[in-house]
Amino acid sequence: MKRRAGFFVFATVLLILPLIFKDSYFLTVTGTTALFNACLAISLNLFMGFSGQVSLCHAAFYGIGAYSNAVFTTTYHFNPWISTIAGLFITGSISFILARPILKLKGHYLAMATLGLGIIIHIFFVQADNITKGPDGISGIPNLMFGKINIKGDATWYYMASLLTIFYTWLSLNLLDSRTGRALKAIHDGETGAQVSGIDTDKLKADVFVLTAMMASLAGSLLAHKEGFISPESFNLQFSVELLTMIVIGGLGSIFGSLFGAVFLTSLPEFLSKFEDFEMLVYGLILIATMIFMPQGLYVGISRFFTGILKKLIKKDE
Amino acid sequence: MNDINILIAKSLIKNFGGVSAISDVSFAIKKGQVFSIIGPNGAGKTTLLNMLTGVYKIDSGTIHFNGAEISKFPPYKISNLGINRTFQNLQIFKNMSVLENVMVGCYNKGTSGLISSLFYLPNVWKEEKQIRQWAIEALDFCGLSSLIKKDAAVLPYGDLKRIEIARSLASDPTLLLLDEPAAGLNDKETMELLPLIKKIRDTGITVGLVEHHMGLVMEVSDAVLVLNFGSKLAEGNPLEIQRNKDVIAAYLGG
Ligand SMILES: Nc1ncnc2c1ncn2[C@@H]1O[C@H](COP(=O)(O)OP(=O)(O)OP(=O)(O)O)[C@@H](O)[C@H]1O
Ligand SMILES: [Mg+2]
Repeated sequence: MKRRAGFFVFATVLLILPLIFKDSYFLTVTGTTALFNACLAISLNLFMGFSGQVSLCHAAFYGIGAYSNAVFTTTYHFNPWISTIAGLFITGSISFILARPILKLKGHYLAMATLGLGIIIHIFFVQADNITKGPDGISGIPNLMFGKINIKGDATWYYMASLLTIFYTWLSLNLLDSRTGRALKAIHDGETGAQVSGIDTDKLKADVFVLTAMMASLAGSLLAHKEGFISPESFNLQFSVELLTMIVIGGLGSIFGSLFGAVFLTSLPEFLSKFEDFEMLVYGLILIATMIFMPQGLYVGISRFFTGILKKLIKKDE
Repeated sequence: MNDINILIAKSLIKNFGGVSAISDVSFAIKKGQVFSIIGPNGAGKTTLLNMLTGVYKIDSGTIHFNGAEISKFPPYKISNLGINRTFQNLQIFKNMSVLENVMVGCYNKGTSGLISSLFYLPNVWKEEKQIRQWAIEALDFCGLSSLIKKDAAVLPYGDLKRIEIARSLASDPTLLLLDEPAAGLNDKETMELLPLIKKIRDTGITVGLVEHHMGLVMEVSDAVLVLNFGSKLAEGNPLEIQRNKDVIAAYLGG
């Protein structure tokens, strides 16, 4: 129940922020990007932080969603929502077919396999230019419509991204408090123990792989309409690594940690613009420092630090 | 006492490279019994449990449980048929609370899947309450009520061993296999184990017990199987085993 209270506070804050910071470029532009990343980080965290698996192809599934909407709406003039469903279907099929063979692997091998898959999908975006228009990308993606309402403008997209983030957070919190969520955590802590408790670990891991790939795909579908233009470089390996950095920095296995990590790493470049070419270096340093000093993640580390202080203060009062 | 065999193992063989861990072992466990498996270190007791629960694939032989052949089943299927177990080296879920650990044990009694869990449909909510209740009952049964809210990671070894028993019981097994439940326990905890095993048996659960603590084995067992270097050395009731020359020799010589 404590979790639910935190969720409502979080959702409310997200939705009223634009009323407090009116016309804030930082909030509606950087903030929206951060929230899209948060959606990706939350879904990746379900697979990695909670289930204890590794994926370096999350950005590629994001890309499949984005390309699906870009291609189907511009080349074939499909309705955006139909295109989104098509994207979910394509991502779902690819991840479903590959899940079992890939997830037989563990640790480094799993990382390598997903890395390979991510690279292959990215190469497809770049090379299949009769479909994807190659490295130049696809422009002229139409606006998203809710009936007759046009979704456009930074502020509107901030709300769209907020709603998706709130939705993903809600799904994840629900899952973790359930039989299936506990089974995922059990797989993380020890597959033998999980199997002997009656959990079909191969199937569950595959299901979660498909689920989180589709969550990434949905976010990608929306992104295509927000940007109006997409190109392969938004979905490359580097972005998968950045997503991984977000969930590690936030704290593997913490949903709010993923949010924190996404917002932190997305807004960081705004503050680090002075470093220019050294941005990746600073990213790396932050990652290393986090691993050394707060291996459980910045968000989890910091919140433990503060609850520790609070507890001490309360004890003194007594 | 009835005479139905709940589990029949025939000519089981398991090799690790050149090491013959289990060679041609056959036995049957009668329903409602406490069936103990003893033997010197490295005799193959844990390997045998791993074979019965599907954790290790068997090289040859057959295992029948309640009349169905389970020799080639994966662990989760065997678990769902009603065989549960604890581990000599513990398989506790370290990032969970004690209650959650035992709630995982109830997995086979639940039905809600991934999608309904994501949306927390009403059936999930109801099931969650029910599972919590079952887990609390299992912890109560093992005398662990005071630990419910604790994180598993901070607890001492002896508590974790009993939490594993509670987790296994939470699945309502028909056959419960315990791998050295007394190892690492202090005297007081070992004393408490004896009535617990009897209580488990009295609820109708068949118990397979691997144990080095001879006092415990002789007191609680209906039948004993002795392994030595992967082979069956003797089988019989506790009295027969205590008098068996081969067994005495293996223990004194080993
Ligand atoms: N996974 C494995 N890989 C290789 N060898 C193994 C494996 N598991 C067991 N063994 C070997 O099989 C033999 C039997 O081991 P097992 O653990 O079953 O003995 P045990 O009777 O349970 O002994 P203990 O009383 O010490 O627990 C030993 O020689 C052991 O080294
Ligand atoms: Mg053993």
